[in-house]
Amino acid sequence: MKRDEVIELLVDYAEGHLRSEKKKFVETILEHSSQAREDLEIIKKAYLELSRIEVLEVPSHYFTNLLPKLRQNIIEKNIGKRNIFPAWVETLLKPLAAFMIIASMIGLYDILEPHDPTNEMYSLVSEINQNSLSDLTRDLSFYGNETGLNSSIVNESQSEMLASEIITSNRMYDNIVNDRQLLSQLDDAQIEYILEQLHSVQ
Amino acid sequence: MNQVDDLKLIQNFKAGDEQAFNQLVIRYQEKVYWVVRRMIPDHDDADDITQNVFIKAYQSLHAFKGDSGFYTWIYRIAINLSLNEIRRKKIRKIFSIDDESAVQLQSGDDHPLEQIEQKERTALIRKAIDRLPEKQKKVFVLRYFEELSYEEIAAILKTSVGGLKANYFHAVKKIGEMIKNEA
Repeated sequence: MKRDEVIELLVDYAEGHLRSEKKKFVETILEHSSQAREDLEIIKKAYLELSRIEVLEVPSHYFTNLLPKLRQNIIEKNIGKRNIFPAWVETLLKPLAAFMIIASMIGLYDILEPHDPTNEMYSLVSEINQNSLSDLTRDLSFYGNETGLNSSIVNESQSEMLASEIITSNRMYDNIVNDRQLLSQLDDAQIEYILEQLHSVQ
Repeated sequence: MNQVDDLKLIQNFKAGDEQAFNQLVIRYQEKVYWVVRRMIPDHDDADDITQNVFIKAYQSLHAFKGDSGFYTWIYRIAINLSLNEIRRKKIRKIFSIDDESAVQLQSGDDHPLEQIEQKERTALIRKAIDRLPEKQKKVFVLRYFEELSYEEIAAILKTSVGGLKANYFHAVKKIGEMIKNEA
């Protein structure tokens, strides 16, 4: 048996923890080994002295006052619950989170943004001569009333923009396509061009 | 039973219940204080460290996963902070014989000679413990004073039981030899 194993047994022996079989084994070793006897004497001496050690004193009410003192400490030092990540990661997390939110909002906008044909239709309508445009605006204004749009907002100064906006309305698109009377006010090339553009937008 | 209660308290604390933390402090304050005090015998120092142990627990408890018992976790913090304090201050002679004698002489006891002898003996043992290598000191304090099993100490110190027994023996032997040499 190695010395380390013997000394472990010696401690247990000195503490009185060994059962009969191992106890006898240790006693046999002690009988034949002066080193083991010396080790055991030292251990026993240490235990004896340790048992005489003076009891440490604690100020009265120490444990009663510890919690309130600790709580005061936590408040005074403004100690918060520490986050999972190290401080430098925490520092980076906030701007990173802000960036992620903004980036996702931009991304969502790109994904969800409906196709806005206004500009396309505006340029299309601008190509139509002013007379035809006036007719178209007037007629579209009429259709606006028919379809629930407020005609009062249709005036000359807004004609081009409103015309383009009304044209892009799905409902008006159907009406325009079906109403040859309205479309007859435009020449064939203009009608074809508008229809072509409307189809491509739809 | 305590283990389940501890985990429940920790869960409550994580959910924002400050009272749950108070209960943990009340439950473990004496154990923590005494393990620290055995390492650092001065009460004021031990008090500071005990508070730091609970402050550290307060800050870090949300990261406690329950892989080990709460007492194992808090003991580990207490041992580590105590050793840090010892290293930082390079404490060599916290309880000198002279200091102990000075305290005794002020006590006005009926048996001053016996008192002096007792205090000298205590100071000698404490000096012997203080001089132990860190590993042996940790094992000795947890085994002898806290009366923890080797398995519990192994969990706290994250080491094997076999090595602990040897450490404990060497600690006891060194204390015994020192007493023998200075007696």
